[in-house]
Amino acid sequence: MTGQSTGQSTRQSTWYSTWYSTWHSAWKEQPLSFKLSSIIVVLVLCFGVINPFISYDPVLDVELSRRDLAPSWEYWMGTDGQGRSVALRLFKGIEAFFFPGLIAGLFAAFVGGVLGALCGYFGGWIGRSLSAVLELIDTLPRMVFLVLICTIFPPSILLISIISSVLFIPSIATIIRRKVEALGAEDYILAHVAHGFHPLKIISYHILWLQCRALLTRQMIFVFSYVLFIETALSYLGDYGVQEPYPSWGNMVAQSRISAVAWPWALPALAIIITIAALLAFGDGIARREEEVKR
Amino acid sequence: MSQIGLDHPQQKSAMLNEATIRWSLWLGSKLLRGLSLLCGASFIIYATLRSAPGDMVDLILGLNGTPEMKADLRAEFGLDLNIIEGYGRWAWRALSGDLGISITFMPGEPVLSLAGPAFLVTLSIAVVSLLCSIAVAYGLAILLGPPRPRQAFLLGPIQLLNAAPSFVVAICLAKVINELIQFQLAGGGQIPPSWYPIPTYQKITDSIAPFCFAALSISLGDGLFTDLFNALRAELMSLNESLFISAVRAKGAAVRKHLIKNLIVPTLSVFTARLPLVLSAVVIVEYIFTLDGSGYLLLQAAKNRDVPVVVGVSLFFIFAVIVMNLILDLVKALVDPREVAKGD
Amino acid sequence: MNKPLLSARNLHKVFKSPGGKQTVAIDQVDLDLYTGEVVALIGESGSGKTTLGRALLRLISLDQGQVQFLDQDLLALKGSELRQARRQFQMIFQNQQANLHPRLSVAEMMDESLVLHHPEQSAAERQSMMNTLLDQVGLSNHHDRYLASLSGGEQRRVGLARILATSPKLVVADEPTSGLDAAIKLQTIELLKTLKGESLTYLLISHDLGLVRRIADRVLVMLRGRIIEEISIQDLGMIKHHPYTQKLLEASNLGKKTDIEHTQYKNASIEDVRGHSIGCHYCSLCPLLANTPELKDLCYSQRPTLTQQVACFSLSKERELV
Repeated sequence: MTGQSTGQSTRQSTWYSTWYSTWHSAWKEQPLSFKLSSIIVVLVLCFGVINPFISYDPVLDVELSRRDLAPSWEYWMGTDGQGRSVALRLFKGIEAFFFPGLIAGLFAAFVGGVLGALCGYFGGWIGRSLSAVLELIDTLPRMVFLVLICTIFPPSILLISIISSVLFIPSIATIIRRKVEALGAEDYILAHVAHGFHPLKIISYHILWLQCRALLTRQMIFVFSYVLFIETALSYLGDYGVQEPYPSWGNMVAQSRISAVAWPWALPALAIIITIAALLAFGDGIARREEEVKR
Repeated sequence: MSQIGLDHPQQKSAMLNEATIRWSLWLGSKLLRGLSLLCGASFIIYATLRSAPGDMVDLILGLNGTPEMKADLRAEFGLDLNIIEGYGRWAWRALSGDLGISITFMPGEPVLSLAGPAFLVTLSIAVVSLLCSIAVAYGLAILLGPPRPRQAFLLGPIQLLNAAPSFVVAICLAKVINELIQFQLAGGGQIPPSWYPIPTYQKITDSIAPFCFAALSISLGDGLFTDLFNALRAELMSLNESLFISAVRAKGAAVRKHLIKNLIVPTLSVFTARLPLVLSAVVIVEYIFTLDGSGYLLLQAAKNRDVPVVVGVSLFFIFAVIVMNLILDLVKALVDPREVAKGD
Repeated sequence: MNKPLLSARNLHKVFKSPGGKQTVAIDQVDLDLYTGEVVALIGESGSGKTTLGRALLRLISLDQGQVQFLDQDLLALKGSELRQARRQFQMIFQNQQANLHPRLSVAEMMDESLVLHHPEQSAAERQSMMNTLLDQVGLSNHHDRYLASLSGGEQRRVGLARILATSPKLVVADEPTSGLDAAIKLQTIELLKTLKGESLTYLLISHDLGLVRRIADRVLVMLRGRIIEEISIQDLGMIKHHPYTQKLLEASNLGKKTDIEHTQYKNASIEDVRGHSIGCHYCSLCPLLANTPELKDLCYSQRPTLTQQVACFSLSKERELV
């Protein structure tokens, strides 16, 4: 009877419930910084997802009579030099990096994870050539290379984020390869081969999912925050990123840098710092938690 | 006895020989590695150029390109050849110092004479900010001692800097300093300082202040200082606790000398690892403070779609990173010859 | 006895280290395992026991040799055939945590194995089978426990239950009791004994002669990649053994670890061109040579083969006379 009931409960423990339990135990025991950062991450996620459903016409929003208004109940982050609501533009600005960042993060984590696991599993010359490629890509200054790409190709945030995710793949693959090699030393792979599992299942499930998911999540978040950084930087520079009048956190700062009041540029700048800080702290928290559970 | 006396110098010269061989082998392998990295990275850039959509020449020259200019450009990038031969010709020209001629940004100006001096500015900003961060990090680490819970209040803000991109730091810094100086000018002077974020082209000699501000924002931004501080403090603490230092202390020898000698290698490693990232950060920060560096040059050229200049600057960055790595490796090996003995 | 369950002939394995140094891990080993018996493989650490155990299960590639398992040529199997065959021979790893997950509960791990090896069963059948297996190893109320909350002995028993889920014919147990305290060690031994039943065959790799005495039927002694003596359990300690075996037994009687200094007999005999010693590995330490000095050249220059169940020129002759 007890066996039956416990069996039922284990059958229900699917991927999301395991993730939830990881997160929940992290929530209970992590410091305040983790709680704050996960709130911000969830907020960014929600805003990013509902963003496309909320229409916003940046041209219609211009109303010079209400320019540079201080924060109030109606415009609770004030208005900028053209009378547009800073809060609304901050919210719409998420769209500029959200989906590109998500795609880049997933792509880098997926390809990097699979490559790293393959190298770790098979070892030998594949691993060596991977580290050679890694060293090669590390000598390319990322920013300069991205500017070069923007000069040659018609610039779009999606292209930029894909290229930057490619630049991150070797480092992710190396992290995963080290992890797998460490596991191999514990006979982890051998034990699963001996038990009769398919190599594909060992790589995808036993290695990547069971052992590397926190690492990969963290790397994914890192790539996402890099895309946020590069998008705001390029939009700030003005020629490659999101163009006025469409809002991006970067071009909001650039637009208002000579404004007489602080909020139109200080709030987006603060948003950039806080979001990146929250993303990094969140990734670190999850990864640290996963390491602690293992012991 | 006499035999031993005869043998001794021979032995010594043999050992000397062996050391020379080992050193030259080590140096050779390092040089080879640097060269292959240079080839690989420049090939990536060339391949990117070749994969441009449409005819690159038309793209660069636009409507006002004369046939001679087009032919010139084609020859320069080896566009008529296949990718390998084209790369060979292009790389050979680049190696012999011919990086082409600026087309749209500063027409007629050779890229080398544009990018060279500009790159020195960039490199000096990067090196100054790295060295200052390292110095301050060590100072703070020595001041604070081992990590204690109480320091969280002090270190919290430092950790928050981890997340601030250097260009955001630079903007905030520019803004704040601008406010301060305008305040001092009284009369609400509407004349912004020369380094205010409106691009003007100027000489490095006029720009000590923006140079310092740029270095400061690089140091504070991108988590550079935080990372350096954490890494160097950990290094310092582990070294301080190690038996080696207690042994030196017991002997009554100067602790500081040994500490410094043992800190050089990890510090140089941190420096090497960080340099490419810092160079990337300098690009935007330079632009914000309108410093006459290669970042400014790069972005202006990119704005004007001046491909030869952009490519030339990129090559300078790659070349600099590789050469700096080589130099730092050499310094490391001189400080700690075990590195040489280990390799091969 | 009848046909062996597993028969290995002429196994050979050389490890090459990056420096170009070669180590002979398995040196022309012949081995037969019969259904239902427990064979113990003893020897000091580094003698190639684990390598041999792994090579028999095709976890390590062999340089040469044949392995016949039932009617299959084990070394010829590939891909899915090999995975199918693996169900019949399982391994208990020395590092038991290696095949357990910190993130899966006991029930999840069991279910994973059952789905793999009995895909035809329904969820309910799997559930009942899991319950029986866990009862068998004495962990009936541990379904929802995780690795961290299990003791070392319990972790091993979970591993054992997982292995039994495949209903194997042969189990290679690599140090099944290392790192366990005395009480749990006893429990584990009892468990291994009860599980043995009629059809299960064990190859027991162990330092622990106490464990070997309790459950083994036959003992093989390994020295630097060679099997140097085969002893049935009744004879263990009763007859005149190979001097190396004698030393192992003495060491275990004194309660010491069975490690003898490697360096004492390293490269003692004459070497071939690759630097592998040809003669008896123990010749430089052998006390028997004092009585039979005429055999010295032979011992140093020729490999003793396993005759009269012992690989020693002097002892084989002695036993032949008896």
